[in-house]
Amino acid sequence: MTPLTLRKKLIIVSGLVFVVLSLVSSVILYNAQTRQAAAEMDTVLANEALALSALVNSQPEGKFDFEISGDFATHYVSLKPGSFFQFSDPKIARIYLGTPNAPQVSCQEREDGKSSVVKFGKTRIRYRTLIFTPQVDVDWKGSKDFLREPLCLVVGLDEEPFRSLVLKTVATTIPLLLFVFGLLAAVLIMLAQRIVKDLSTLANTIETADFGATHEFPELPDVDTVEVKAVADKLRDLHRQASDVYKDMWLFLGRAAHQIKTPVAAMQATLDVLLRKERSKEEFLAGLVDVRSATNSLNNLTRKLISSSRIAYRSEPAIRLISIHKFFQEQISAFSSLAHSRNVVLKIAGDESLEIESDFDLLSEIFSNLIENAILYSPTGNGALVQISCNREGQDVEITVSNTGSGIPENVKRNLGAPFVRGDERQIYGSGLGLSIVTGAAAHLSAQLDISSDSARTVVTLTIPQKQTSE
Amino acid sequence: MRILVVEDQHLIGKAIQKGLSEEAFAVDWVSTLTDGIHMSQEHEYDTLILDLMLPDGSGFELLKILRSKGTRTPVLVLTAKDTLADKVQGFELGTDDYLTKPFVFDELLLRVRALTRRKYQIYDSVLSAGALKLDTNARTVTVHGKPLVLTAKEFAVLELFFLRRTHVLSRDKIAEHIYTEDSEQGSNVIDVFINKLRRKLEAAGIENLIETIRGEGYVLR
Repeated sequence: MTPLTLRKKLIIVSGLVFVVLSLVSSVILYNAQTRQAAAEMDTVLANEALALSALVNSQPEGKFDFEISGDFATHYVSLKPGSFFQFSDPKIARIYLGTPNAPQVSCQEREDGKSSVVKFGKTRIRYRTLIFTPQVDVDWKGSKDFLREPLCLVVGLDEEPFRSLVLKTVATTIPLLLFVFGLLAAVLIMLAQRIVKDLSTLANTIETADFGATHEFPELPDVDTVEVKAVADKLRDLHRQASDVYKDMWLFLGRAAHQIKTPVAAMQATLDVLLRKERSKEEFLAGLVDVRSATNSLNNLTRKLISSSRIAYRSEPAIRLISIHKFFQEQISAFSSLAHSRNVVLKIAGDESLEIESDFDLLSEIFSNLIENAILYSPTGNGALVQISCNREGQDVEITVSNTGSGIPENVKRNLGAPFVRGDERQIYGSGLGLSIVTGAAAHLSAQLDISSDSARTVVTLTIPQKQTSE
Repeated sequence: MRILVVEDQHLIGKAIQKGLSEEAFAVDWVSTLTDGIHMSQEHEYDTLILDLMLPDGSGFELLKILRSKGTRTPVLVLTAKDTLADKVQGFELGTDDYLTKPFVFDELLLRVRALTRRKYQIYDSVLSAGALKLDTNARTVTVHGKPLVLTAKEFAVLELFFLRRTHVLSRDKIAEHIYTEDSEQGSNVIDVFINKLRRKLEAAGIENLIETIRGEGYVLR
């Protein structure tokens, strides 16, 4: 199902509100009109009952022979009058009156004065029942037999005219209601469109942009809505960040290409010169040694580039228990040849039984680079020492790699950790990627990396939290 | 001809020095800007090969210093920086040629030779004096079409005479152009070269080409 636009959703909601309001209002109106009609009918019936009561009490001959008149006469006649005026005992019709002490007839309504509804065929009759009770004066000498039975009188009213009136009233009011609610819905839609206008403009601008093809982020519209303006500002900010990352990636690629150019150029120049003329075997082998040296540089660089990529896209660290002493023995073994060639002594100090919960591969990336740098940047000759020490500091494990040497220049210190920055630019060794890899791997381990350097010594300290990684 | 190479990449500098030396160039190679500035001010070079990304600064700094002092030594920038902006900057600062790494050595060699000739306002690669012809590109010398075998240093001296024809060249001047900073030569080594060259030329039928100007030096007539 295609998702609806915000505008369509608002229009649909407004339409539903319109329909629901119209239906509810119509029902309320109908009920109100019906209640009002019932109340009016009850008033008429009450008045009629009072009139009948007065009529009974005023009959001089003791005979109910009253005339039905008024607006309801037609209805009484047409609707079986006998049903409307029903005496419980026909003899009561003969009440003897005429003396001052003649019996009076009291009138009261049955069923607590409530009207009831009875159906005659399709006709609904609303009626009230009146009880007339003769009350005889104590001094009256006449026969009391005729006066003992109460008289029951039913007053009824056909509901149909009222119902028709109700329906007519409701029918004439509903269009007005529909108009009012339609107007309300239109205003609601206008307001909604006004509210979503900025959002729609922003959405359309972004929707039509093709960043992949042009690398140009669209110029976002100026908007008035505070919330949409905040979204647009955030988008601009995100775009700036994305652009910086994008530029950094290309910059990295360019720098990597430049780094690759150097050993390639060295190989080509060496081979070009070597192949220009006949060479002795010794001369040829010397040239090949130079080519091999350039190949090693290229190999080292590509290995570092692959490590950089792995670090950047690595997922969660795979934590396991590692014996630090054993780990560094393996590392030292791997670098023994390089250390020997540069007359550098490698030494491990600290707690030999220390174990650490960490990611083996990330630790290897960190310390292979740190140890390699420490060896390469140590002065060649007797006395150069690269020392690795490991100690537990509270919940953390602190590992330092230190070397003697000329230290890191202040201007280089600021950018250490950025790709292709060398600790000593005068050195021909190193790809400039080692500390960048170390920084990235340390971040994966939530470890803190500190580098201190003076004119005689450089100390790199890695503080690895233990609780955090093991929990 | 004497060349200064300012290149911090060890293998590249080494290869250029070796390759040019084998082509009878006297090559001084330094790997820092500071050393490059020092050497360029201490000696007169026929061409300067300059890397830009040096450990202690940009090669353009050296170029600026040279041009600000009016030195017209041809400069060939040899760098990995290959954008148009870099090239434009280089030429605006007064470089004479621009070659990007990686490069083919033969191309570098041809460019260096062309620049060297240009310094002496000679635009033909084949230089001649009567029946004697010297091909600066092929590194050959012929007399009446027959090849004349010369050593690298003899070729370099003869080439210098051709390039500075009619100019009197002192022994020091000649030595400056054919020996590097590290070379050790005696005071009379130039005279020995000239005599050997004269003998070879005379054997080929060319006489009195190189004239001695007493107390001053030699001149090619």
